[in-house]
Amino acid sequence: MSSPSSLNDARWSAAHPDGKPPTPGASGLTAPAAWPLALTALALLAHAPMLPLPAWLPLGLALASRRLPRRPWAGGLRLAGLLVCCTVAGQVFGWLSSDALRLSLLATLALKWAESRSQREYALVAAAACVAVAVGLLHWSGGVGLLFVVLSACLLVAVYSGFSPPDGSTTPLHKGLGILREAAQRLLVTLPLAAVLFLFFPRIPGPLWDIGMTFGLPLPASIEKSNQGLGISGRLKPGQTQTGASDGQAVLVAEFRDWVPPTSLLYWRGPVFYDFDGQEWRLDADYTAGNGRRIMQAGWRRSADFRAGLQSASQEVHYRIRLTPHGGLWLYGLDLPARLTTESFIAADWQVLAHLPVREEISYELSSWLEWTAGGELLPALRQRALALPQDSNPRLRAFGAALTSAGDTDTVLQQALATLANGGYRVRDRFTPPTGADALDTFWFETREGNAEFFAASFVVLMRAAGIPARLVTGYRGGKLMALTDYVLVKRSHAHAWVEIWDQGKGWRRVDPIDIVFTVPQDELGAVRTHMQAEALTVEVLAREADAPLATGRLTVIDNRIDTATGTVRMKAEVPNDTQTLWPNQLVEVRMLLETRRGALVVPDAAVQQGPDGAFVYVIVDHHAVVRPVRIERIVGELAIVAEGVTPADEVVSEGHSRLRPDAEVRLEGDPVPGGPGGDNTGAGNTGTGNAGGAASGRAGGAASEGAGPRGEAPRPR
Amino acid sequence: MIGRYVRVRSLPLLPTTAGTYWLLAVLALLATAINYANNLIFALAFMLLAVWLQAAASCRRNLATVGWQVDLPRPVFAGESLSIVGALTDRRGHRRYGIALSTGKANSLPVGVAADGEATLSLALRTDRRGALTIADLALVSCHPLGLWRARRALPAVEALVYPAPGGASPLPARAMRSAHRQTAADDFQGVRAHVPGDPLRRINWRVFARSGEAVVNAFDGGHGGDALWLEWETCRGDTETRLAQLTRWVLEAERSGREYGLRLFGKVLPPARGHLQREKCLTSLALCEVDSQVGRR
Repeated sequence: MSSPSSLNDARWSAAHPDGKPPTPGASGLTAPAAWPLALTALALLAHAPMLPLPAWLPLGLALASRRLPRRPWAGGLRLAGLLVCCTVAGQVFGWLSSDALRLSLLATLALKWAESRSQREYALVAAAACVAVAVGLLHWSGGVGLLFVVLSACLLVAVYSGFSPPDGSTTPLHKGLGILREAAQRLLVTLPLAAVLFLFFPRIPGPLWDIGMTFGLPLPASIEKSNQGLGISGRLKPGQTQTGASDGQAVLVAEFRDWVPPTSLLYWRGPVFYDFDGQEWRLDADYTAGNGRRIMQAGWRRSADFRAGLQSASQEVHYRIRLTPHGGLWLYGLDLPARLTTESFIAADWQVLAHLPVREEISYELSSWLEWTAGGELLPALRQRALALPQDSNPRLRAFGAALTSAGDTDTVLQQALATLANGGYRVRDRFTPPTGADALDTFWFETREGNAEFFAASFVVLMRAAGIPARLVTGYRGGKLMALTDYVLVKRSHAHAWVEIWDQGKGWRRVDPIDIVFTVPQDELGAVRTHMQAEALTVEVLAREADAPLATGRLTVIDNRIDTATGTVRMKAEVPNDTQTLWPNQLVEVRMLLETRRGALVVPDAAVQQGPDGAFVYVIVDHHAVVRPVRIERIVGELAIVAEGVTPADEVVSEGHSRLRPDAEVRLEGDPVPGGPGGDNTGAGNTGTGNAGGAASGRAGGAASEGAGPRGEAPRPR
Repeated sequence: MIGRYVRVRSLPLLPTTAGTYWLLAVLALLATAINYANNLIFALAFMLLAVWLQAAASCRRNLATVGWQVDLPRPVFAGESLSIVGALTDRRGHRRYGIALSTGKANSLPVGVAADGEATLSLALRTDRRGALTIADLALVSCHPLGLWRARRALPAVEALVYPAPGGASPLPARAMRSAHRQTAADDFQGVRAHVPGDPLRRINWRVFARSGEAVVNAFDGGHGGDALWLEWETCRGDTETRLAQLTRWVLEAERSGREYGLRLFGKVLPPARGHLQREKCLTSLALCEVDSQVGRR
């Protein structure tokens, strides 16, 4: 009886006793049609910059088709027109190109408007046009985007309020601009509710189809010739895999059993490169030919044999992978494979490979060791390959590497090389102009100093080889997106990564990946950090939590270009060499920066500083009475507060027992006052400690005055 | 004005088709916004969602507290439209918009009510059968803001009476089968008139006849003196409804011609009389006439 649809019919019959919607003339642009038209036009406008010029012809025709008489053949004509339009667009722009999709969407919208005569149709057109505006919004930002948002919302409300049947009480305002004004008022009324929704609606990260994929939606199955998987061409040119249009494409979905390791520990191992000609890295022909059986000769068919060759291995994780077809043999097992699936084997370079190229989506279970020491022997032939360098390219890098040789053993060389990387002002960039030419790596290392992981890794391999350390370049994916509330990790093309493995005589192949540290600084400190950063390189100390001795020392490299409004903090990036392997991915550390050394600063224990309605104050003891003394605190470092003004070094301040203290109360001291000691720490209620302190020296010991900000860093988050 | 002042707490609220489109658009916007992590689209989606939710609240408020009184509907003949007329009143100082009366099949024109004002709502219902009509699914409906929601407030049932549609072609029975009254005394002596064959002998004014030799008869006023018209079930032909239609037409004609008439249905006799009350009595009996199948076939 009260189904939603019956109302509309009923209302039409109520408003028009003949039971039919008003039939305007064939060309009639009645008021109910005008508002949806305005919204459709807004949708077209939102898409205008992205529409190729010829696309306006079919769109204009579609709108003009409203003048067709209302006959059955008119509908057929419109449908035929839409088909022709889509076909032509598909042929010209490509079938699934954004231009073709955009044009089809807009043409459908325009035709639907042209066809609409009833309220329900207009409602549909208006709602669809609003969505079309939103899709167009993706290309606008800031003020113009906001204008589109407000306009489309207003127009949609106007369309719908145009449906309200006349009830005798409506004023003439219900026409023209009045309707728009009313719509704007209605929007204003609901803005608080909208704001609440906006703020508190849970934000699900990332494309929804990511979530769908974890629950079994098919992975995108197309192997585009233009953008094949890693290593399919058998070549790697640094800078080649810059993130591009397809970087959102899923490579694999892994479901972890029992526990999901921190994603930064996940190295999905792909092609391993030895041979470098100065510009390109090349794979064995067997890989490009997809000749799994040949490769298997040098690898391991049983994981137990492989494990036997390792010195140690621990932290086994089990996971199930769904792999997008990529046309290669790689199954992207995590470093290092512990257990195999059927039809797979471990290649000599530790990748998990299939016998035949992966041409359709497959699913398999693997397990891997996250920690290991490889050990073993390096065959002379392989050592030769892992040391070979083309003599006619990158001379500066080679010379630099040769100079490092004199430093000593492998560890020292590595440490020095990483220190260069950490202190050289290098920046990791996703998008950049890659240097080209025979000496591209030289250009990168010594001049541009910015690039993606491939450049860092490739240069580092060359450097290591020049220094006489066998090294190889490993590519694959690193990390992945952990889907909220699940054990699924989605790895996309944008997670492509390259890292280095060097041969350590005692330990075998080991992974080297410089770790960046990202930490945050309160925005109040930004000025000081910037000033000091300009003056000199700022040293960053990384400390384990609750420990005094730094784990590592690095350099501040980048300050983020904006302040996080939610937390009022600024992100900064420091590069810290992890040569002694003391830093672990996702480890929670504290980061301390030495901004300046304040000599002779006046400090009081921060417990002595009280907050009153007029600001900070301390109780000073004058003649056995507590006196309130307002102070200006410059900075609180650890347990000490640096006082800019308010107290003198001769004053005694109360550091404990404030709860029982009133202004001008008489104070009895227990024991003798201890003048001159920083942070008097007497025990016992009602005590005072004296906190005058002058001249705290710099340095960390004892937490004496003044080492600048000590914000807590989240975790080293390597690129 | 007969009826009750109605106030209802529960008010079913359903999105209309247009409201469903609106919600679908919001969902599509949300999906787009999530996919592209675009705050502008989030803003648009939440603005529309807020309008949608707010429309529900004001749609409900619009209808929940309005007062309603209904008149007893006037009886009509089958085939005519029965009109239900009621009054909407606002006592809370809120203006009301677009409230219509609905029976599920038909809706009235929506009306608005000024703050602290009153408005008349009328709904015409088509009738097709005689008898007592119970309009049970009467409700106030409104989609007021934006037509996104439809609030429906059920009203108590209204009883109406539908008379049979007049029909049949037979003329009124020409003469009474028997006189309505057998009394000789006349209460309202009107005068005398010339004797026409067939006048009862008893009414001949013999005194005039003796004096002048003219045969005149005493004439009396009203039914008590004259012959009453008996409209009888038995005199009609055809099935039940045809007979009832014929009787209805006779009642109307008899009333129009000012004659006194009585109605004799099986088992029910309405003594002759005339006037508005008699007409309604007769028509009501005809409307509510229950013919058992035996009689109907006879």
